[in-house]
Order: sequence, then C-alpha cells, then structure tokens
Amino acid sequence: MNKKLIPLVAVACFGLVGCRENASSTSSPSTEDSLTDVTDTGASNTGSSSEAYESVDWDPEDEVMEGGITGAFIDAAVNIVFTVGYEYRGSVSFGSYSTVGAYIKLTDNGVVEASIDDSGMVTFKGLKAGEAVIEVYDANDFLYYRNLLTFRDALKTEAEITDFIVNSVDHYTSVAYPGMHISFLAGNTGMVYGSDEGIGLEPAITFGYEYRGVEGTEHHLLITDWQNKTYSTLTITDIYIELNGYTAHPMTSGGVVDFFTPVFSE
Amino acid sequence: MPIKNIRKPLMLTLCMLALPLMGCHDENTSGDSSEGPKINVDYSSAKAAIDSIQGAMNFTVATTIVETMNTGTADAPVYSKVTTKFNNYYTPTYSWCDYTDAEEGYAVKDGSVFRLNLYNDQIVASDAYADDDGNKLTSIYDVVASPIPAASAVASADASAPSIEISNKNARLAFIEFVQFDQTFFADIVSFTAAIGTDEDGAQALVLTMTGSDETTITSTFGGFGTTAVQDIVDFLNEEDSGSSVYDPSLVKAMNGFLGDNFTKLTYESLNYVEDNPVIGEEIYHPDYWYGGYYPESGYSIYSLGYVSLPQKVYTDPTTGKKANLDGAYLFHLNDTMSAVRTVALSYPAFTTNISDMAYIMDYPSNMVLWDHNLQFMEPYDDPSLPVEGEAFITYDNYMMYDFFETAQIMNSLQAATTVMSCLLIDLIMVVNLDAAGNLNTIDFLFDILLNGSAIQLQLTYTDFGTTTIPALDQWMQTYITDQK
Repeated sequence: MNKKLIPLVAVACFGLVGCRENASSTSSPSTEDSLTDVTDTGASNTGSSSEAYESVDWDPEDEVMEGGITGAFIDAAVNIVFTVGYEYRGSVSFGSYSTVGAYIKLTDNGVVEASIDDSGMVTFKGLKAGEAVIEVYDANDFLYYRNLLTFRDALKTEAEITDFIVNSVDHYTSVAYPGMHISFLAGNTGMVYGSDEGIGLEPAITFGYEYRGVEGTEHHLLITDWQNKTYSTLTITDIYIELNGYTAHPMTSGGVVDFFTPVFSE
Repeated sequence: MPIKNIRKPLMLTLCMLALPLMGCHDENTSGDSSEGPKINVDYSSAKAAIDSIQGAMNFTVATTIVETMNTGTADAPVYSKVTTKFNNYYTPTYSWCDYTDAEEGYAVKDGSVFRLNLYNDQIVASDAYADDDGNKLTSIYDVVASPIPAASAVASADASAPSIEISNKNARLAFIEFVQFDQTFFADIVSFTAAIGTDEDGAQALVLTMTGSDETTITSTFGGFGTTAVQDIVDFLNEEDSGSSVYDPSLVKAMNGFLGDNFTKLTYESLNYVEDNPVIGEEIYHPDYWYGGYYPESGYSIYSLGYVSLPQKVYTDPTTGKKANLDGAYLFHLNDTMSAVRTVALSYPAFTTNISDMAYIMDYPSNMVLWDHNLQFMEPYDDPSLPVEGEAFITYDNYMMYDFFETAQIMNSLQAATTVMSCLLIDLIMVVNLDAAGNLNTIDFLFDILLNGSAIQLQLTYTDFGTTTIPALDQWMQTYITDQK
C-alpha cells in the first residue's frame, strides 16, 4: 500500500518570493500604518524558547480567518516555521468587499516586517528569530485575519543542519497523517518507524543519505540506501528539510509523503 | 568498516561481536594498580549518581539481557525467554568484556592502542589504531565509548528522584551501541531509566534499564569504582613482548590490494576446488563499475551483466545532442568478448534509490571485517599439499569465516548448485602469491566447509590487483558522460 499523498498545494508552496535573502518588499503598502502595534492577547506561547528568541503570548483560540487564505498563510495555519531573512507571500480573501485600503498590524517586537498591496497580497519577512502576531484589516477596520507567525534562523551549512537533525531533534513526526517518525543518526544514516497509514513499520526502515546542498530554501538529502523489510511499500528517495530545520518533506517517486515537524531531544 | 555484529535477531549461532565476555577475567581482584580520577558515587538520587561518576575510568558494568528468541528452528519455532549476562571492565589502560565466545577489549601500551580478543583460548592483539591522519591513538577512550550517560542527558531531570527517565536521543543510542544491539531497537524503546538500585551483593548501585516494546529488557549495573581489575589482562600486558601486533607484510599487501577495490575474480566451473578447474568467466571489480561476465564458450554468457556508477552525471546523446541527468548506478551489458558496450540502461537507476557506491552495492571484499584490525587472526600456515602456490595463512575464527562467507555471497553460489541442508565452516586459508618484484600476483582463498555432511574446499581466486579495467566502458564514459554543473 502506498501512503496517500497529501495535496501539494498545502505544503509544497510556502508562498516564497524567489529564494533570495534580504530581499526588499515587493510592493508599497497602501496605508501609512501597515506596520503598527498589535495588542497582545495574553495567550500561551506555542513556540519553543531559545537564546535570542522573541516569544509572544498567543492563544490559538484567538486565530481569525474570515476569508480564504493562500500562500504563506496556509503554511502558518499548520504552524510551519518560516526562515529569517526570506520573503513570504500570502493573501486573505475579502469576498465581495474591496481590498483597497487594506492594512496590517504586527506585534511590535522587531521580529517581522510586512506590507500589503491593493490586491490584498501580503509580503512579510522575518528579521530575527521569534514570534509575531499578524492581523489583516480592510479599509473599514474589519479584521479578516489574525494568526501567529514563527521564525527561526537558517542553518546554512551541511554541518549546521546535520548537527541539528542528529543532535537536537529526537525525531521528525508526520503531521497530516500522524504516526510516521524519522530519526537521523550519526554517519549520514537514519531510520523511519511508526506506521504508514496503519501499516506498522516494523522493523524500522533504515536508510543512508548523501547531502546534496541547498535547493531553494531547503536542504536536500538524497536517500542512497533504503532498507525496507516491512509490509509497507514506502520508498523514500529524497528528504528536503527547511533551512531552519523545522519542517521536513520526505519524497517518493510520486511526490511528497507528508510534512514532518521536529520533536526535540531533552 | 567498523566491526559490528548485530546481535538482535539471529546471531546466536555463530559469532557475535564486540562486547561479549567470559573466559579470562577475574572478578574485581586488586591485581592491577590502574588509577584514574577518584570517584565518590553520590547515591542520593539517580541524577546525582550520574553526575558524580562523570569521567570515571575504573569501574565495572554488569549487564543482563532478557529477550524472547526463537530457540527452535525456522520451520518449528519455539519462542522462549533467553537471559544473557556479561560484564564490562574499564580501567585507564585497558577495557575488557567477557561475553561468551566474543570476548574483547582494548589496551594501551608503549604508546599504542590496540584491541584484545581471545583466539584459541589465548589473548591476541590487533595492530595499533590510528586517527584519520595516521597518527597513533594514545588513549583507549579514543576508541572505547564510556557507557556512563552524559550529564547533559539528565541535566533537566529531577535532582532528588531515585529513578528518572532518560529520553535524550543520543543517550539512548549510546546505550544501544554499548550493548551492541541494532540501532533500529531505538524505535522499539518503551522506557530507559536510571535508578538507584543494588548490585549482586546488595550494595547500592546505579542501574540503567532499557525496555523494548517486545518486552526485551536490558539492565546494566554500575559498580567497582576504583577497584576494577582483570588479572589475565594485567598479566598479558606485563609480558615483555606483548603489545600491538605487526602484521606479516604479505597480509598487509593482500589487505591493501582488496581495499583498492580494483581486481578480477575468476569464475570457476566448479565452486568446489578440482584440479584444472575450468575458468568460465570473470568478475571485474572497479571503484566505478562492476561486471560479472561469462565467457561465450561457457554457455552462460546471456547472464553477463554489470552496474556502472554515475552519480550526478550528464549523458549527451551522440545523435541528437540531447542531455539527460543521471544519478545512481545503471545496468549495462558488454558484448561476448567484453570489447564493446552493448547497452547501458539509462532510463532509470538500477536500484530503488540513487545509490552509486559500487563497493557498497556489490559488497566488495574491501567490506570484510578481516581488514579492520583483524589480521592477527590469520596465522602462518605451512601445508605442502595446498593446490596453489604462495604464502599461506589460516584462520579458524568463526566471526572472520562467517563474515567472509557472507561478503563473498557463498550461500548464493552453493544454493545455485545444490540444496543446502547444513553448512558448517571449518577453516579459511588465504594464499598470497607475489611476483618477482614483490607485488601482488594472485590471492586465493581456500574455504573448508562441511556441506550437507560432506567436506569440500571452495576456491576463490583474485588477480590483476590495481590494473583491472573495461576499456570499452571507460571509453564510453569518457565520450558520453560529463559532470553535472
């Protein structure tokens, strides 16, 4: 049985504007106050803390989504972590209402900068590791969108990403279809275990990989030795890991298996 | 390749690896004066105990493994609880593990670190271990990993609890490595705890316990701080001529020949040695390709095939100029005389993933554990009746023989010729033949086995070390293959 492939649009598209670092905003905000203070909602922090990491109090129940979302806002909806220094794009549909005059508000903690154009397209970029709340309003001050954006620094080299996935991450776990786990071990090896759509991955599938560099905003690991002795026909050929290390995309010949998020070693 | 023998599932019958023990140890006698930092173990809590033994270099770990194993046959399995016990002894200058039939340790003497094993009830030493730059190691702890969990692994644990769960990934993997279980056991861990318990004598002790989902339980008890010694090892190291081994130059030449991953292996008509055994083909071993070819007159040439390694390459079609990216190992065929490339299947890599390391794919002889500080198991052998000429060496070591048997895929060859009911490995002879200039000419392995109750001697012949190529394939690659930019 092949693992059901999740729709590519939900995870493969991060709403990036190219892959360039330190890119300028693609359009000017239509109002002067596109970067303004947002009142903290006093909700709990969902992110893990680290040195120089700017947290905010956030309650997921304060999420607002009055219109359809695209691009990076889809990623934010599933708590994808964005990479500092990269531009992302997303939009919120206002339905039949005009997007002219729409504006945004951000947590004023220096974590992110953002702008919105008359079409309602939001462009944002993380300035430093941390969290910030973003709100999107129409010209009549109606709140269409509120959510938390999380940013982590890029791990730019093979050594950095390897150290992260081997020593900091206990395992990556599948999100869309829970139950599958990937642990990276020393010596460019790893194992996949848990279950694949109900099929137990026993014994654990072992693999070797070669580091193939950065492609776009992801580190590319090429699977070189896949040892699957389970009843599952799963064959992962590549694993792409976001530059910040917080999202992994294993691939088969048919596409993305799922998106995986890290569970950290204590 | 590290000497690693995977103990979990089936390795009871033949040799096991590393840790094991028994044999030549004494229990914690005070014969050796190994010092090391003085350790006062704090048994007030599990975390305190772990913190207080950091850096300890003189202690004993007593391990008990209880696992469910098939004690019957494959056709009539009988699943029983099997208990295995062994001890690991650590001192500043040597370590020793007394696992039955796989005793092993490391020692440092005269500026060299080397491995110790039991062979024919005698302690034997490997050659000296060196780092990647060729510099000799100076401490056994450059090769021996201490089984004490790192303090960082329990840094956030309850400082007063008598028992704590260790969830740190690296700590769990390190323990799995320590007991020589397969790394995949990591996926089966239900719990891994450190607790203040007692040893066999009822004294307080730090106890690590790892439990698997199949109810496998591994318990390691730490004790003997400052009092650990193994008299037989002390006596061995005190012998004037003991220390790291210097291998016979012919053995070293043989090893280097195989490690170059470039030679020819003759394919005989009969796997069992017979006089004037017809050669019906040859296998070409090369770092970039492998080819198994049968001569036309053998009648098997239709089965000839090979794999070529093309990682991150580009193929340019000579007719259309179209380019295709390649990444992996690809199947190819030569003509009957191996003088021209007939086909190369470039549509897809030959294997399910883009693996291209030919030595790994085809399990080249360079992967044999014999070359990993194990030539001390090959003793000089003088037998005028040997059917081949050269300097002969013999081993009866089960692990070396089993590994050779597996790497050379001998079972496949036997099963192609007959129904294998039973197979017992007797001895492995290596005959190194040098030319007048002292260079490798041929290496013959004569493998004595008992097959279905009958004694036979298998012959495997390797030649053309460092010079084997397939000119037609080399030309093809030079003409049509470039690197991806």
